[in-house]
Amino acid sequence: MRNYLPPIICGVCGVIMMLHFFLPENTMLYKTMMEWVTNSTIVVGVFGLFIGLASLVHNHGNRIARRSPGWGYSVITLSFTAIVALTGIISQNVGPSVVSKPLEKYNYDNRKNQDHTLITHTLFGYKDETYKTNLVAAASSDAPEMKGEEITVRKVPLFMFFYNYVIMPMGATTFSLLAFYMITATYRAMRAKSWEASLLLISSIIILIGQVPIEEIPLIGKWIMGHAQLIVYMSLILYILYAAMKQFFSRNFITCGILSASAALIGVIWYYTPADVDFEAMKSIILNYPNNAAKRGILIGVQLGSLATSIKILSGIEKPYMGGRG
Amino acid sequence: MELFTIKSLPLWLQYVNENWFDLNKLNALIGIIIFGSLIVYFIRRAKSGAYLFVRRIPGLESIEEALGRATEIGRPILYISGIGGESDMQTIAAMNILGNVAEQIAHYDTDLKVPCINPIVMTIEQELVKQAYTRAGRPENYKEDCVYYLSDNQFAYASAVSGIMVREKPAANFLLGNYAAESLIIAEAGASTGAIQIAGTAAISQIPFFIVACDYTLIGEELFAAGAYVSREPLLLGSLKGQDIAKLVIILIMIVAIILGTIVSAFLLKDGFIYGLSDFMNKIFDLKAFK
Repeated sequence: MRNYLPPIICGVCGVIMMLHFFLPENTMLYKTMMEWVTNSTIVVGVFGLFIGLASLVHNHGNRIARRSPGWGYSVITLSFTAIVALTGIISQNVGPSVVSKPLEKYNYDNRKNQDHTLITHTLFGYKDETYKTNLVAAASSDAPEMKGEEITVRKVPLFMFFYNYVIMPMGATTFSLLAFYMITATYRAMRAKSWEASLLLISSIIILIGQVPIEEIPLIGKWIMGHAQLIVYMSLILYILYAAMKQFFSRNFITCGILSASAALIGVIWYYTPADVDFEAMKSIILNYPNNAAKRGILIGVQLGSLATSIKILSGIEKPYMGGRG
Repeated sequence: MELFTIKSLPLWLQYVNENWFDLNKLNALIGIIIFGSLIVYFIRRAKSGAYLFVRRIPGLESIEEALGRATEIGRPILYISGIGGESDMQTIAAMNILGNVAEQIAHYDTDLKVPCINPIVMTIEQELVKQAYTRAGRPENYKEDCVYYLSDNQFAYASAVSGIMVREKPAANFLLGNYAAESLIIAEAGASTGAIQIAGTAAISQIPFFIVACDYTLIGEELFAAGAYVSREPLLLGSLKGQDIAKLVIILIMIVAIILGTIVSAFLLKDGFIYGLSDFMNKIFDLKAFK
């Protein structure tokens, strides 16, 4: 029974969900099933929360008990888990005061077509220069209450206080690290180690130049923007000719011939390229055609992979929920 | 006075009275039936013992190398299955690979660490790893706390994983599953520790980040193929073959559609058989086309 029941439940639920996809969205059956799925997800999610909490306490509790290196961090983690959980339980009226000011109407959720008022609030008094402080947090939390109000001092529930002033800024800080990581990643990506890497380098330079306001660079900015075709095609031709020369000296005459012919072909393409094609247009061509084609190719593969995985799970060939294969 | 309305019927009769099929999705149903049948056919062929060729995937070939290296230098292996939930196909694919990787790790007797973002995924992965150790004949080597929960907040999770990478310096990092903005934070933290990194995701916007920051990257569908590739189970390989044939069918449809579309626009056709066929081809993948 232990071996048969879970795959049967999984198969039946999977088929029900598949049938649900094919129901017209305005039918009562669709809505009832949707409600059932939402409620089931909430129930499972609540149980999951307890499991997660138990794992967290067990893991960090062990580290504290064993005095493992860095056990102090575990004390902080567990303390704040308890504090934040408690703030969710205590009254909504308990909390620090913040100064708030409505900014502008904003359609926060396009699907629901709800107008929210963006507000900014600060712990240390409203200042014009803190215009965008916690803008997103405000829009998603307590903006609807603020409609039409002027600068006010009001209480923020302690849980929201932690969310807006501790969790959100910390998340934003971690997210900001991406800027630095992107620079190191770009450095690694932009090394012409092979033929493919060189192509990547050239296309990324075109996109970079097409994306940034390069014409504002003093002296050379306008010249660069005005000679987009010369720069791109000449770089390509010179690079290919350099590669062809290397092949010639290595006595690979066939490869050398193919590369030289490619350089000539690029020259022909340059001749027939309309004069108004600049970096902006080249960027659009790269993003809309080769980039989009590759993306869609990957997407088709991913969807077929998902379909195959679904069939394997529905038919019980794969049973990850039971610890592996069937 | 109205004596009879639909709402006065019992609930189950109200359901029966409704239209149960959205004709806009007819092409999706036909697609599922055709491609599903292909996959099922190849699974059955594999069951009957037919040989199925699968091309080499370098990222998966290197798993053995990564595990061997971790065992040699005595450092743990970190396995991260992304930020998706239990119903995310990429997370499911990552869990399938975890089962196989854990089985090999059990043979090598190396430490495995699986920090999770989702408690349900954590529970499933605990069971997966436990079963893998049992399959490998080393149930005594399984440690209860090797699969654990960190946080359900995306960036808190990314920070915690980066911290684990820097403090414990795992020899190999597996970053497989669904990733978003945290992908580069985690991958760069791993790269800075000098670990072998094997990544794989179907999230298109994150693939470039993994390619530059990791040693091997499984691109898109390779993630779904990995479970079958690593385990070499005929049943799973069969589904892989079915997927490939389905892709071939789609490519053929696209080539025919491109040729017909080019003819229609070159000769400015407005009606006739070729125009009708081209129009039909254009509508094949459109969910609202069969209204």
